[in-house]
Amino acid sequence: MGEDRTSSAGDDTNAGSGIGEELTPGRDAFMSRVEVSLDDAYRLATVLLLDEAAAGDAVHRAALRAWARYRRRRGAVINFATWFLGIVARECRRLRRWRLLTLRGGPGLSHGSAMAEALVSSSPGTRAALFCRYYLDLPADEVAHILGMSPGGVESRVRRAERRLGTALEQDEVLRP
Amino acid sequence: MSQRLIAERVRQAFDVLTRPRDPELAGRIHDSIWARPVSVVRPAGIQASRTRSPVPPAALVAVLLLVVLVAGVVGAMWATPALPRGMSALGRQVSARLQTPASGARPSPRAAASQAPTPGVSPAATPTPAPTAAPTPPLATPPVVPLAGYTCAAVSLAGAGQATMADARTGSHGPFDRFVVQFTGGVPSFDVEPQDGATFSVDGGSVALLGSAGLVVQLHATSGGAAFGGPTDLRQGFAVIQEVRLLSDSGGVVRWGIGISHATCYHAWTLDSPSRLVIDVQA
Repeated sequence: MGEDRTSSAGDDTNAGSGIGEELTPGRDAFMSRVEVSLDDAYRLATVLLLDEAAAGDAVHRAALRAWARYRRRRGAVINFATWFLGIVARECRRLRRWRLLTLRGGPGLSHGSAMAEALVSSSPGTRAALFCRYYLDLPADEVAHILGMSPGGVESRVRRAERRLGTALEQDEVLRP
Repeated sequence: MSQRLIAERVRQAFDVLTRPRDPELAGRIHDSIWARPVSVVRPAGIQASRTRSPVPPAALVAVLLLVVLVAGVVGAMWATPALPRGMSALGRQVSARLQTPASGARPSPRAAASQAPTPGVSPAATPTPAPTAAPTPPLATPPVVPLAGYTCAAVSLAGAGQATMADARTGSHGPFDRFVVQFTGGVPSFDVEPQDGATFSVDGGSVALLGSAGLVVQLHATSGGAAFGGPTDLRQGFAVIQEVRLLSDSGGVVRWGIGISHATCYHAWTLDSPSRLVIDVQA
């Protein structure tokens, strides 16, 4: 997971002249890094929660948690994008626990293919693993870090899902003009 | 049902199921963060002071005293030609080094300034104009420090024989931008070569991409042609990867050009199921 990507604290601090500013991680730097990952984070939250409004809330809350941690670490974060997506995924799990019944009421998302139906009916963890693996093109160890599982667990979950999704894909191919 | 097809359909399904974020989300996050008071994060060893001064005055005074003390000691050593007998051997060595710079060693500016011009000793006895500052080269941009696993040199990797290019895409992931080429079959042998400038040679001429530096990705034993359904020119306005273009596809060799904003390092690696060549370009 981001095994080899590091960022120094220096580039995350304010570039002001005051010593006090140098001790405070920069909000601008944080926001610019969050904004780069915001689309991915929002899509991941949508995949996990199947509710766009809840996904927006989750990403908002996750960003505030991330900011608090970022300040404590004084900006020293390894692989910011993966780190932030991990916080978003945990926030989504927390939200699901609180709003379980509401979220189980229905996906609230438009989808028209058997593949999309199959994804919606999969478990949130499986959906998120497939999303990170195939949509974000992330390696298994980064997916594992984001979702809080082992790389082997990610691989086996993806393999099992692929076997199940093969059936849905056949249906889609039959219906395809 | 092939794994590659499943992966492709999964991507398409996620495209349908999810949408880009609400444009106001970043503004809401921004407002929330700016609404919170920022407290100074202090190193563990520094006590908070009432004035919320980032550095305690006592520490400043101590640092100033230390600087004055060190300057005094160095000044005394400089001014005294002979050290007392009680001085340590190290002190004598330091003093000797300061007073008689080794031949070939560059004298310190102070030592050079203190040497009186002695006619006959120096071949440059002719009157010379006052020394002027040597023309300084323009400030170069600081060299890129490659992240662990990244390289700024050319890379060649052997692959798994014949491959067919199926798709290509780019993405931005914070500390790096990513270029992905997807294949049917394995990932072929490939070379990645950095170059100055974003102008790439093509058959019968050259083509200029966006950016000020470039990477040439050469895929061997690879065919694109009709099987390749992906884009041949990607301009998504990322911070580092500014444009990616298919330069040529003939004779089993496919060349991609990546126009990047500045000369930087990259990490080329592969993924399977489906087979992908991934090039992460450091921001």
